[in-house]
Amino acid sequence: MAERGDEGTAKGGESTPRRGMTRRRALFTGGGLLGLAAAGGAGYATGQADADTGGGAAQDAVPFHGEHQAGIATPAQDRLAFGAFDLTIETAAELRDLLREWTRAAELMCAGRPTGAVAGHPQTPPEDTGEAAGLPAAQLTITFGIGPDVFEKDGKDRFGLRSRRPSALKPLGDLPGDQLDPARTGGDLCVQACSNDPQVAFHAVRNLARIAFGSATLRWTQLGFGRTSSTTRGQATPRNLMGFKDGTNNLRAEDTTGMDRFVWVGREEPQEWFRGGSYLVARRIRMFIETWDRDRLADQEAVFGRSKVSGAPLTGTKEFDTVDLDIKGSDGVTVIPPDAHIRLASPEINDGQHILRRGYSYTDGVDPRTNQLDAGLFFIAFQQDPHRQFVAIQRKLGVGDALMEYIQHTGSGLFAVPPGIRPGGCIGEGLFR
Amino acid sequence: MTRSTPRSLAVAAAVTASLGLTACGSDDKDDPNATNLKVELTDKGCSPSALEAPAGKVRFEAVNNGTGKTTEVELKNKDGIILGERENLTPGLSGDFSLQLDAGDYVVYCASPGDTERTPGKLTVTGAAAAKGPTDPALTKAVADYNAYVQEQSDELVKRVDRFAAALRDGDLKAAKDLFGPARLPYERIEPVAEAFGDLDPKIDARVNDVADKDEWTGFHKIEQILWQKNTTKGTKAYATKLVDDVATLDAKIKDIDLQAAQLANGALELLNEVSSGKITGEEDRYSHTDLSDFQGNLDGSKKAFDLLKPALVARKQQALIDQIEPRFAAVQKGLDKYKRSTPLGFALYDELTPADTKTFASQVNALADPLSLVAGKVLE
Repeated sequence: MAERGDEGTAKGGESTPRRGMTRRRALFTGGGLLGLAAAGGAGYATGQADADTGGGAAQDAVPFHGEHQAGIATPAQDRLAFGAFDLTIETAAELRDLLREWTRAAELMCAGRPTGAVAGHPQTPPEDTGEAAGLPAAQLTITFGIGPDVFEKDGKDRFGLRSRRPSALKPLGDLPGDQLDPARTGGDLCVQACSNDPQVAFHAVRNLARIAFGSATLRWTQLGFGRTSSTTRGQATPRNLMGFKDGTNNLRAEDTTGMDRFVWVGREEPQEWFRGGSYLVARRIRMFIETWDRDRLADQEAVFGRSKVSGAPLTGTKEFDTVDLDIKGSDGVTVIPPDAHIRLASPEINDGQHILRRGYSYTDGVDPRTNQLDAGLFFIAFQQDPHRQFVAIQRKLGVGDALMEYIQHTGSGLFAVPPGIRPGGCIGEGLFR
Repeated sequence: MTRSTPRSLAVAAAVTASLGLTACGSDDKDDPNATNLKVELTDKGCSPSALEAPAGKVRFEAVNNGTGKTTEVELKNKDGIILGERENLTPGLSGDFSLQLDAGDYVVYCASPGDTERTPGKLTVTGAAAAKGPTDPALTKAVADYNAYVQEQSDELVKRVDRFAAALRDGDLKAAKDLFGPARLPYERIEPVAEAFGDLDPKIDARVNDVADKDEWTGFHKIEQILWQKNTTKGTKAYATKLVDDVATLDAKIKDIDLQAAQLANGALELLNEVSSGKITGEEDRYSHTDLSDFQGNLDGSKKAFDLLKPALVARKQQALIDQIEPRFAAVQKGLDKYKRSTPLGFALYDELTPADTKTFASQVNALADPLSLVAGKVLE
């Protein structure tokens, strides 16, 4: 287990303050003055090597580096903290600097370490906010994404990056059934922090937001309290807030052929820097809990097309029995109703398309208008092409899915998730070459 | 409209569902729970001509070992609805399909395309008979009376939509705006019934965010958008004609509808769900703000179905449930009465609804809908 102690010692070496750096970041990175920084130029790589191998940095730490970013194929952790940010900077160089600092901090946090001193100079605010001190990494992964507006906003080539835009990073557009709240939609950057400890996940987003002061501001955040998908074969299928097992037929990380076909961006992508990346679609899906809870059991099961307790499809007896969409009952109607959720979401109906779902249940208290529970699913899906996959599937669901009577999409985000980071590298570095 | 076809009337809706070719899951052969039935296509039809199976999953396989006179097989229920079929089984080919069958008699028809003269074969499925609807006279009367109510509201809808369409054609903006809310009222009273006819409700009542393609958006809310947002009747004529046609089609279909008692109870609940998820948040009539009139329609329809089911509840010693539900209906109505106005709509606009009253309505409707959700289970006990 990693000990998040009061690490007041420097992990990094020298660093050269950059032009345009904020005061806080200057302090954060400027190891020289107080000898505290866990950051800076070449030094951070050393620090990282330390974090990955030294100090018992946690058998429960997930490696930060790799071909793909962690937090996608990683077995879904139990908790989520998600943040979407708006950039307040004006140049690509400043964006690169922010991503570099985020990378550095993420490397440390994913290894179970603080981003800097938790208790340093008595007259200086601590660099790390401290609430994760003493807690293990608890499988923390931090996954970064870049929104469409970074490449083009209102027709303008905002950072001179238009020509580097990942091919499928185009706005999702209006989808049937949407009732999107602008305050919970969009964003230039996103951070998905997943961990088995909610405080560790929150700590990650909070500290990244703090590092971003002066460069980016939080636009919206979402906490998820329970995973709703299993993403590896070893995991049992969890239940969503409607009480149904969700994600029984999800893609599994072990299915590397499936991951290559449906999740990872490959050689087909002309933007070389983006190969090995993926696209994250986030949807805040409110459930009308009160209405759902008074729906009769038989109808709840017909809405999903599955048995509530066992999770078996209505054409089978066990959870993983094949979903038979064609079999009919004596009334001539398919046993899995024409508008059942598992039918309309199935690959058979959607040109064989799969997505990797990695969502979380959320609750945000009550709807102030009606005092009804504001709770549901914070849906996250990873895919190779959001338009060929998520959008095509959602167009069918939004119009025909029986479940739409009980849910409403109230927030949305689309982000290109750059490929993984090699030791010493930075998130999205290929973008700036 | 609801966000999608509600489920309370799924039985009725099922009849309109398309009955396409039944493809077969390749893994069916390995299903130990299925009964395998095999027939051979012959010059005259199928052999054997009489088959038997226990109720449950049945896998049906047809083989053509050499006849050119018979190339397809159909399995039909006793109403003649094709449950499964295989076509183009020329010599040397075989095909199969699987079904989940209740006990009863079925028809196996083997022929060449277009040939309706063959002697059909028979499949007898044994076992527990499918659940029959209750034959309690109190329920029979409730269903008959509710049927009459639905017809009456549907006729009223046709009349009011005709008047509304006439105002649109005459280019009378004020008259059209005055007639919009009242024209919707009978529809809102019987909405779950209308929604049973899958494609009609979206044509009549879809909101802009319910449709896949905005160019195909039609019905009340499309016209509402033009009248209130653009403040003109221009451009409404084609939509008015289509709305008149669609409610006429609905009216014709309603004449043949065969409702069941459970559908009354579930329909009553659906109507209240409509109130909670659409009307009290002002999402239904977002341009005209006539939501409170729709609210009254939903409440009327729900109350009507409940009132008709009361004798059946009394017969089942459910007076306590009635006593719980009735004052809650009254409480919602009392709250809504505060917003009645002597205008053509009869109600204040949604903007006048105070935040405090919105919350009160939400909690009152919840309090009412919860015990109401128990009615279906009680009357079918």
